[in-house]
Amino acid sequence: MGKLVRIALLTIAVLLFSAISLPASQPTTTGPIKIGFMGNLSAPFSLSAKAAAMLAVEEINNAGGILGRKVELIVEDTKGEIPKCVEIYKKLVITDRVHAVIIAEKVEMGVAGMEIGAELFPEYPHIFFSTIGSGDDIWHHVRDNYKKYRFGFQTYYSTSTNYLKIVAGINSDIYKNLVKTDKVAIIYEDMEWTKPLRKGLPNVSPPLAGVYKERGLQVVNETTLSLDQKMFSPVFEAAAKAGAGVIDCAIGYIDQAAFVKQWATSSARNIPLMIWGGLAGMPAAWKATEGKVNGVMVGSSMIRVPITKKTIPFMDNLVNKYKIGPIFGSHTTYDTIFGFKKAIEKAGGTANIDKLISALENVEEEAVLGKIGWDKKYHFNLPYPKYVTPIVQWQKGEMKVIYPLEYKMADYASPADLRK
Amino acid sequence: MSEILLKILIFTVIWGSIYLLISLGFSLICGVLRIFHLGYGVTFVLAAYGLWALMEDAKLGLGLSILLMIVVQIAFALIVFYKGVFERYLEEEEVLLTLTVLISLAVAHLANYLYPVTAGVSIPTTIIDDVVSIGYITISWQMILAALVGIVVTAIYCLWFLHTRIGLIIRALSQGLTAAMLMGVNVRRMYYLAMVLSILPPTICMLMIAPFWSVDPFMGAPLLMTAMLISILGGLGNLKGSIVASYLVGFIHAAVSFIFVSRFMGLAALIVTLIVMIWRRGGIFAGETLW
Amino acid sequence: MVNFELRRDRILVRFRDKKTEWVIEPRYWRNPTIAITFLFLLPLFVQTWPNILTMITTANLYAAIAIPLALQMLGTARVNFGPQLYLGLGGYTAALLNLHGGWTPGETLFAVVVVCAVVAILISPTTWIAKGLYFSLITLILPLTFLDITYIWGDIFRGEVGLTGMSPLLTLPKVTWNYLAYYYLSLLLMLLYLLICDRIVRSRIGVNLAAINENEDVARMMGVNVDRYKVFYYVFPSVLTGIVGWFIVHTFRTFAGVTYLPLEFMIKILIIVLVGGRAFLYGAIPGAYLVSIVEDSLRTLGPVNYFVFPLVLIVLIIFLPRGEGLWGLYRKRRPRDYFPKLHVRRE
Repeated sequence: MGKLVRIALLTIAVLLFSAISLPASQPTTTGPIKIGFMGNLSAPFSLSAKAAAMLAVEEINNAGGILGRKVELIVEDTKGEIPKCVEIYKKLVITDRVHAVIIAEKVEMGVAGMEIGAELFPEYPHIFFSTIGSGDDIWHHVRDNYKKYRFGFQTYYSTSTNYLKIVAGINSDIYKNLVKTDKVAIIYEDMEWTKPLRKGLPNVSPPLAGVYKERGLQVVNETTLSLDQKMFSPVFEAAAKAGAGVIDCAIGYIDQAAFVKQWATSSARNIPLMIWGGLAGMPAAWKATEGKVNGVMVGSSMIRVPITKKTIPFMDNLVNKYKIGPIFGSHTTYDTIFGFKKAIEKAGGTANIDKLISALENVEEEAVLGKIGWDKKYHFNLPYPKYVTPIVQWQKGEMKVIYPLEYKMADYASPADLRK
Repeated sequence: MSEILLKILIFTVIWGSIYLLISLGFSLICGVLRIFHLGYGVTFVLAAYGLWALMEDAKLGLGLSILLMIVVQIAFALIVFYKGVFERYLEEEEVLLTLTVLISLAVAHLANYLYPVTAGVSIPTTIIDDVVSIGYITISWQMILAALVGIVVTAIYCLWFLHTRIGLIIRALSQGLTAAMLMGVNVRRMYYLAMVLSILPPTICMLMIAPFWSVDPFMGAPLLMTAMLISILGGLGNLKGSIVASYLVGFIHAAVSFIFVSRFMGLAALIVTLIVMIWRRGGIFAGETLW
Repeated sequence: MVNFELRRDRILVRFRDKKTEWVIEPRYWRNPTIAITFLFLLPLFVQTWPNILTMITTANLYAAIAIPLALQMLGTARVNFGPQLYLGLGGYTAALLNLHGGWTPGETLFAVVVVCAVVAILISPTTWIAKGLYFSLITLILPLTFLDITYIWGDIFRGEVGLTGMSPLLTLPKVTWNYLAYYYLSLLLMLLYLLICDRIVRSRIGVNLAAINENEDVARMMGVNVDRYKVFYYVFPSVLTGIVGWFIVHTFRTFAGVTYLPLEFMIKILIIVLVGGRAFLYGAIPGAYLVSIVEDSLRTLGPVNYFVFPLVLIVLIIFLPRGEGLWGLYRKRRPRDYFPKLHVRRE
């Protein structure tokens, strides 16, 4: 008994010692460059982003890696749960010693990851990319506390400032010049990312309705939808009654299939819909809505238009190699990895994290959707016209780019004409 | 003013009838088997994805696929739910509830694995692809048809329960199990029948609403929520209650969305249900019997 | 005033006409001691995998939600489908006061206790009004309503993004020490809950509890103030659940209602209760650990894990001793095996 106790005590002492003296070392500076990927692998966007990350890594490795070092991708599934996300982030950074973590998932995961990352960063330097989480929370962290959160970078299409300053401008251009109307009805979904659009940003921009007014449009109706809503007839009735010439839908997460299907059989069926993003911009939308999406305009990156020479090969390779189509988030993930590659090359390796961060702040690399790079101060990716999200219109089973004009594939047509 | 009233009236009737169709099967199981069937959402998922699989993968026609799908539905309900769960755990509700939830999770995730949103699953069951204008409002024919089907199916069920012998037996069963057994009712056979009967409304519902509803692997949960809400509000397992509650919920949704803003229609229904439950704890028809 | 009295196998503590007792006979303590020692030494074996440490920290927290829930089910004779309401309430109270009021974690803990207690007292009459399934349904709706409110009042609750940047409970020089400390804190929290609930179940009010869940009307006739006890058994576990929310806020430092308020989270807790052993306090710990470990190991299967996980749980529930779960494998006889009835009237 006494002997057993002694052995047990000794084991415990050894384990304790090893626990405390666990080295908090830097990631390796010579071996493979490790990138950790986290996503909710039951969601199509994360699955597509995963395939895009794998494609990027494969391409980089085939071309000789980064500075001669192979790239290794570690894929983890967060199941869309914050505790799991926190758990995996720690694993990737502490156990796997990755150089960069990519969270390709909704914004709450990105934010949770960034908090954990900030805790780990001083001891375990790494870079964090959020490639799907939309909204302002990621870059606001960087803005408000650069020193603590400087390792975080956001690659998603737009931030609310850009929504109001750039996207709103594009939209009003489309409404005035293509749709030829000046009466807009706006529909928001009740989520955090639309709040700046609904309420404006103090000292930066008036709300979306105000921006439209400034640009000579008349906002005839504004309404908000809840996320779990299934019946949309009332909002279309209201828009039609207000005499809207176009319905501007700042939506991305609501049940878009039902939304579009009910639009196509409502009083507003002849008023064109302009959807900011989401399911309606996916190739499957035509099938999923049985063609009722005909005439809908939507911001979509899943269109076969050669924005750069990488665009078409990326889409083909993704489908051929991984049997999965590009969705929102796959482009950003793919481009992020290439941006990261170029930054490492500029910084001359991964040894000095601050050098790497500053390289990322100054990098600009050809991407699938234009040019990838990040804002020097705030770390969101450079917006349009550097990074392009084409506006497409569904025309008889196909998505056709109608804006920007240099990529135009077809003229705008009214939904009523398209249904004929 | 009269315009808003007309809109509220029309949409109360249409939505109410659709909600009735959604919740009918749930109320039926609640009324006859006296269990809270948290796996009810599976029926919708199976209907949509079963049909899709048969049509797209097995390349069968729409009519044949619908027939086969109904067979699959009935088999699933009887073998997995009834034989597998209800019969074994009828007296241990917590196990029963958890198992049904787990089954529905497994089915939803399997559907999501096989046919993710990117597969573009849809059901081509549009009967009339057109709209009709009543006064200022335009409504799709499909919604009107779904509402009509809802009314007709409910009417058939009610008449059947009230005017046939088997209906009488099932009503007796729902009023008192022991008494019914003493009268020589073959309870098990009636339970089988009730399971089959509870499958039909959601299946028909899915076919009717698919043209204006979305088809996704996790649609079972919100549909179950609607069915539960109506069932709770009306009085568990009471068809009269379900009918009243469906139109009440339809009215709340229509009134809130046309007078106020549609964003709050779900919340308003939740709060009304909460108030009704506290004020009149069994719901509107608190008898807990089928009729 | 307080009298201590040493008996052969126990210490009796008397205070006026009330008494409580602590069993000191070693053979009753052997297994708990082994189990607790194991839990205390566990980090040493998983030290190099901080993710496993975090996983078992989370498992501790799940258990710390399930234990009060079990007590609540025993005491109110109702199944609460919405303990996550208090998790959310506690979490948001702590987070908001910390972020906007600059309150320290100690102060927010106090606030969480007060807020949860007040809200729970306000809601507690539902335990008299509603019975069986109806109570479960009311408690099911409440967190969903709260979830919607976190979207409607997005300015305060920040909708789907949630609140971030709350001050941490501990700031040790090394993050790995922090994580180790969090593990021990969560373990202590869980064990403390277990101890408290265990003492309650074994005490005089525990006897009343047994009477209540045996038969409410009979208990009432025997002079048990059923309503008062129910309020206590509703409010007290709710506060304990709220404290778990507080703990989550100050350790994960992000808190979003979308994670904790939907039904999915409750289902996880319910599964833990069932796998561990229904409504039996100790079962929650093996239940939480098993569910967490199974879920985490299945993740290696890839995307199929999403439908394999529920299937594994179904198998577990079916093949573990009927209704008694993991605890039933360990103990064949339990003092109070009880789960409130949930059915729609079936005579």
